[in-house]
Amino acid sequence: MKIESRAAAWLGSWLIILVSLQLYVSGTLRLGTDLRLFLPDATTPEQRMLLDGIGEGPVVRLLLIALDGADSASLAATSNALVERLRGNAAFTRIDNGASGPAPAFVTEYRYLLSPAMDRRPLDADTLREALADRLQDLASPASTFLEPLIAADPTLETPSIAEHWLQRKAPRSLDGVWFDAAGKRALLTARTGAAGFDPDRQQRALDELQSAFEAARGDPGIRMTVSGPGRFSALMKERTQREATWLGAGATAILLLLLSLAYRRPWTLLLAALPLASAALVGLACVSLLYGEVHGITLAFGFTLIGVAQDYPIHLLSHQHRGLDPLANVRELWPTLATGVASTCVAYLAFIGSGVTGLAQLGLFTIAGLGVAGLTTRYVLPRISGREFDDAALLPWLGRAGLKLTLPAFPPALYAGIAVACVVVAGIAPGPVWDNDLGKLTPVPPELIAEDITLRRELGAPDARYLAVVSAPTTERALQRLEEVTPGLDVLVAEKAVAGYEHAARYLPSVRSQLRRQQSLPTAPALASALETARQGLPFRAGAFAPFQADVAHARSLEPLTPEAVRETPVASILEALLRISDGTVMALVVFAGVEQPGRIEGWSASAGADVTTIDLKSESEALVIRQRERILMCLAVAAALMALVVRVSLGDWRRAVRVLAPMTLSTLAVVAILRLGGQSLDLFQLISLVLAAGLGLDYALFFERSAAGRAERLRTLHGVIVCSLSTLAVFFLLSLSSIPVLRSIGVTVALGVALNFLLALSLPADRRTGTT
Amino acid sequence: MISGRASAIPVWLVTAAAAVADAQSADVDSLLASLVREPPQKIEFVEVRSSTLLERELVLKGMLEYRGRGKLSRTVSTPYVERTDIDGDAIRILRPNRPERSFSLGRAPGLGGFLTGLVAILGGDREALEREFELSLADGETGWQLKLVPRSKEVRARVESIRLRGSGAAPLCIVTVAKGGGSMTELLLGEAATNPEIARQRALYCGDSS
Repeated sequence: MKIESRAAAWLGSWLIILVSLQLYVSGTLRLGTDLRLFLPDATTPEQRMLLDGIGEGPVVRLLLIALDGADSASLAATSNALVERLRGNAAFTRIDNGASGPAPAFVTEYRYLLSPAMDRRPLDADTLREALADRLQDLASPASTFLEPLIAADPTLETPSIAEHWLQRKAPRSLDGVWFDAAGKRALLTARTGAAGFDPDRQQRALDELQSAFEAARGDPGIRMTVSGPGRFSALMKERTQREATWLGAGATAILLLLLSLAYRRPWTLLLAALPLASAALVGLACVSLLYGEVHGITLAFGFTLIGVAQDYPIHLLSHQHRGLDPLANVRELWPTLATGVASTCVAYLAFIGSGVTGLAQLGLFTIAGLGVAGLTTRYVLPRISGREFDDAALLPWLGRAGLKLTLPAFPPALYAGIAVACVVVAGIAPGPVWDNDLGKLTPVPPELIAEDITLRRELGAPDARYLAVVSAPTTERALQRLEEVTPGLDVLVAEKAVAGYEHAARYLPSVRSQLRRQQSLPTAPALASALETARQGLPFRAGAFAPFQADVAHARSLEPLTPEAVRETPVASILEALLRISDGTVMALVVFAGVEQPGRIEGWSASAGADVTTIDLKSESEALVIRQRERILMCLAVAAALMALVVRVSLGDWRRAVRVLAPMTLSTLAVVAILRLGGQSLDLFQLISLVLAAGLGLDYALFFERSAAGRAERLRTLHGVIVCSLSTLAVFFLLSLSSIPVLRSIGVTVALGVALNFLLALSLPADRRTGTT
Repeated sequence: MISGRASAIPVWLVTAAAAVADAQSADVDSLLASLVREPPQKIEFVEVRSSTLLERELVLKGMLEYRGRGKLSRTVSTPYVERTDIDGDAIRILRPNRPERSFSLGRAPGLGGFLTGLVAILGGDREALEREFELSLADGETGWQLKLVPRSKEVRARVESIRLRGSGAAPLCIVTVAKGGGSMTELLLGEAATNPEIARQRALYCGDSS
């Protein structure tokens, strides 16, 4: 009775600590979604651009929208209604469907400073004569309905020409006044979100707004909307991953509960087994929260997978517990082995802290803190609350029979070495590249959606996600000037069909230099009046009909040129922000391309444009980044492996035993790599992490098997523990390998394979100590 | 019984109203039937355009071509050359030495009414016509006048009504009446357009005869 009440007190205090941690964590920890946490810091301006572009660039904010399922007239009407509804919606900075909407007010006011047409022709009598003749035709044409109100103030149609210039790229086919695909079956639109591309929650909100606007705008119930683009993908993948992780988690919990119930036949053990894991999770989260304040979703998902090892700690304890044995004595007996396992695994995760990648460092911290606490919970808390009333695993008849069969003959060291070399060779020569450098694998998108995206992107002439150019300059004004200087070269690329189009900041905001030049070329009031008078000769326009025009030109002569600061409150601001990036006092102006047919020509253009212009192939840059990231991680893992070996050596006391324990783990890691490579897989970051997890588990199995313990009974208890550990891990990761999400699947396959191999190889541990019984 | 008598009056009213509507509708029907044209059809036109920007009216001559199924072409030959193709809701304007311009009727509500009306009349699409306009028919000494009052608020913001005047099966003038009452365009058709005395033709055929 006395013991039981003390156990209750221990349990109670422990639970209170856990609940307080839970409160602390849920109060302070924010869930981050920025993928860049998982990438190494940029070292070159190109890589900085890449990292910026991944989350915040203009390309990843663009949603491509297609409407189909009705005739072109109703699709066009729905397209227009959708634009109408979304214009002014805070979630979108811009929405286009090919129909030019009302221009922002500042464009009308500053049109004579902004319009590039002003460079081609001054506002003289000849220009005006031509314009007035055209406008007269416009007045009598069907276009008069919307042009007539403009003509008095804007006879050269400068405002519409700016709007056209802004949309300048290989515009999609226009049907019923809005964009359509080449077949005329789908109305097309683009929307730029305020949210960054890899902010799945805000992207989801934008998508919801889009959906409800569509439902309200839809003229015909048969019309369907398809949305594509990075934002849609990130929202979709988050939703799918979350949904699958939920049912996988539930499935894994059920399997675990079932296995534990079968193994120990006492409901009480379920709580005991859960305690170290729960403590690990909460302490891990609390540590990350304390040091970083924010945890990435991937850290969480991976972290929970990695600390799954902690599930094994109580299992070893429970399998060795039996009636008559003081739990504290039991744990003191097991502790050196358990502690070696915990310490060596933690050392391996130190590699992640040293990786220089924030997300991985978080992962390392989370896991080390978690596993450490799980080990200590098993050592100091569990024995005080577990009680001693357990059936002796050694007396289980099936285990006795299995124990004989499950003793594999010891592999001679030469065979071990031979297999290891064979695995390395197989991994090296198997078809396909050894390493997967595709950053896209971090957020795998179903291929049919990618195909859809490519089609829409081509139809819309939307920016290419791979190639871009950067113009670096000390100031924004200088960057805009340089963009204007390199624009003729870009126009050549378009004219010669090397690219379908391009976009840069100077298109939306010319440099102050250009604006001043245009301003200085504007005629004085008397000059304009006489030019108008000459132009009007022989045309039926009323004298004085263009007084608003004369007033606007006079006003334009007095304007201060526009700067990015001056347009901060306009819709153009967000476009400029995406295209002009300032870092470390350098302005980096982006040139994004659409429909790149000849990437080599872009290189040629940038080489001749000047030393301040560089072309970036985002794909090769991202691959370089991934390679660098992996090299660092591999280096850290090598150091970690050495440290791990050292921990095992120190703990076991001599190298012979240490090698014996490390050999199965090493061989099974190499074998998993060989098997994966034979299956045609290239290795990526997720598999590396999974291999570390499997190796940590394998080390535990080997340590327990190797543990010098006297007696057949004790050996059977160890076997029981390892069987329960490996079966439960195998079941959980086998479940994960059934996932439809490639990342989860590859983790599942890797760990399941690793656990199975580690278990089998640990059974074959050199027999000198395994036969020292009976 | 009170209830019986009370309900009898509206029934009588409705029947009478329906009879009147039927008579009107029958006339509109027969007029519209007479105006239907088998594509392709060509008809000469003279268009008189007025605007507050202009000190005198702009007079265009050319050819309208009805090509069936919502397709209409308008070719201006004097005082300049221009071709407009209307296909359903899409409008394309072609001028020599100028880039093609295209837009949708949705952007030009006033125009939309006029063209939908014309195409619906030529195609005999009574339903489309009634969807866009309230129709009323009047007979005068010089022929009939069909008045189309746009139903849509957007169109009414610019166009008060469209008056179509003709004689027998021949439409002679279409007047688009701007909001506020002034005429925006007067379109003389067929024999009214071929007569060189434009002012006289306008006086004869384009005034309000209702």
